[in-house]
Amino acid sequence: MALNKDRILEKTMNGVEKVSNNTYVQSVSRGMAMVLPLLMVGSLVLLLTKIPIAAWQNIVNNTSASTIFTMATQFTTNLLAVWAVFFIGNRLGNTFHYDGALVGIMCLLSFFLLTPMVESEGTKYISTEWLGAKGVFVAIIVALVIGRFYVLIMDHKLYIRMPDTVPAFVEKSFAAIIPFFFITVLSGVVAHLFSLTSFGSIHGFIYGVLQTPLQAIGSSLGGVIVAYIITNILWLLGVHGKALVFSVVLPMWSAATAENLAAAQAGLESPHIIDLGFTTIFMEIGGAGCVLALCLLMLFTAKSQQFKSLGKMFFIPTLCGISEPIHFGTPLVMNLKFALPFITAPIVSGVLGYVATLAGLVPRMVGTTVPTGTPQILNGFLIGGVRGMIMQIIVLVVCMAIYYPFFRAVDCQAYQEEQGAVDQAA
Amino acid sequence: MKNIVLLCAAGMSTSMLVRKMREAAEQKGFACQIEAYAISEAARVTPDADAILLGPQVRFNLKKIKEMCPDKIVECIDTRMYGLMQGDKVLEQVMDLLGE
Repeated sequence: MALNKDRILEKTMNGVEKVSNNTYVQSVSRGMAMVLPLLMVGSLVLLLTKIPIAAWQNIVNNTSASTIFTMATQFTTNLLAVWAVFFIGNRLGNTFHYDGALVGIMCLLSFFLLTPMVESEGTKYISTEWLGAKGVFVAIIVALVIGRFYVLIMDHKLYIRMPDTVPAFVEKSFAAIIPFFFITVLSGVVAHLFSLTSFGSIHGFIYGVLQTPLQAIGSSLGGVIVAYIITNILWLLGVHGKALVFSVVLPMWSAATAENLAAAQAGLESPHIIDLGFTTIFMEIGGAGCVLALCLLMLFTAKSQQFKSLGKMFFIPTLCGISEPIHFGTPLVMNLKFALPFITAPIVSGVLGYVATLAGLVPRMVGTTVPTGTPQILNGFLIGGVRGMIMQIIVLVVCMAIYYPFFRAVDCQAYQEEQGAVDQAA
Repeated sequence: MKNIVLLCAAGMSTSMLVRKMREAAEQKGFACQIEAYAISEAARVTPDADAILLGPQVRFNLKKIKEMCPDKIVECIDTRMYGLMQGDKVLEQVMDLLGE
C-alpha cells in the first residue's frame, strides 16, 4: 500500500514537472499573469464609478470624470489581447535567452498585421473588436508561433552580421531586420489568405472555431468544477495545483472576466455567470479547499489544545487567502482524513453561488477582480457587493458544516491523545 | 555572510517563513541574508545564493533547480516545518547543511 502511494506520487510529480516546466505552457501562464494587474486596474476603475454615494455619482455622471474612467478601462481591459501577445512573446523570448522585449514587439507587430482594419471617411482604423477579450486566443497563438519562429531564425543565425569593429547596439539593430522582414511578410500573407475565407480574418476563425467553444466549456459550471477538482487533488498531493491548472484555464477565465467588465461598462447584463471574481469568492474561500471554513472550526470548536493553537496560527494568513500554512501545517496534504471535504466543499460552494446567481439572489459578476491577499468577506463585498458578501458568508457556513464531522473526528482523537499524555504524566 | 534563497510559487507564503527565519538568525547571532522569491525568478536569484530552499508546494522543481545549480546546496523545506512556519527549525536545518 505504502509502495503504491509513493509510486502514484512520483508519477504525478513527474507529470506535473513536465507540464509546468514546458516552455510554452510557462510562457503563456507567466505572460497572462503579467496581464492580470491591467485587468485589475480596469475593474478597479469601474468599481470607482459605481460607488453608491449620491454626491460622487453626481460628479461621475456630470463631469468629464466618466470620460477619464472610461478611457482607463478602454486601454487596460479592452486591449487585453494586445498586452497578452506582448507579454507572452516577451516571456518566451527570455526563456530562449533572446531579447524578450524585441520578441514581444515582433509578436505584437504580427498580431496587428493579422487584425483587420476598417476604413471610414478615408481614414483607416484598427477595430478594437479583436484587441480585447475576443482576441486573447489569437494573441496566445501568435505569441507562441511568432516567438518560436524568431528563435528559429536566430538559432540558425539568419541575420545580418557586422564586422567586429561595429558597436554592439548597431549590430543588434541590423540583426533584427531579417526576422522583422520574415515575420511581416508571413503575417501579411496569412492575413490575406484569411481575408479570402468566409471568416474574414484569423480572428474570426479562431474565435469562432476555437475560443468560443473552449471558453463555453472552460467557464461553464462543469468546466470550472473539473478545474477545481484537479487543482484540489494536486494540492492534496502537496503540489501548488492552482499554479498548474491556471496555466490552462486562465486565458479562458480572464477573457470571460474582460467580457463581463466590458458589458458592465456598457450598462449591459454580464454574459458570464462565472469569471475570475466568481471563482475567487465562491470556490476558494481562504485558498484551495475553501479552508477558511476549517480554520474557523479549529478556532471555535476545537477541544484539543493542538488544534486550538493551530487555528489561531492559521487564521490571519488563511483569511487573506494564503493557505500554505494550513495546507502543510494541519496537515491537509497527503492526509486522507480531510480529502473528502477538501474536494467537495469548493464544489458545493461553487454550485450554491451559481444557483443563487441564476435565481437572481446574487447579482451577476461584473468582471471585478481583487489582488491576492485581499481578506475574504471583504473580497466578497468588493466583487459581489452586499448580496455577494452575504452569499459568501452563507457558503462559508455550509463549508464549515461539510468539514465539521471530519474535523471533529480528528480533533477528538487529538484531544484523547492529549488527555492520555496528561494522565500518564500524572 | 551566507546568502539563503527560498523559492515558492509566488513568494508570498514563503516570505512569512523568511521573517521567522530572520528572527531566529538574529537570536543565534548567525550573519546571513534570507530572501523569498517566486520560482520563476530562480535563474536570476540563484547565482549569488549559498543555499537554496524550495517550498514543499513547488518541490517538483527540485531536479530542475539542482541541475541549474550543480555546486550549491538545494533542498526542500520539510512539509510540516513549513506549514507550522517554524523558522528556527528550518534555519537550523540550513545551518547544518552549510556546516555552520
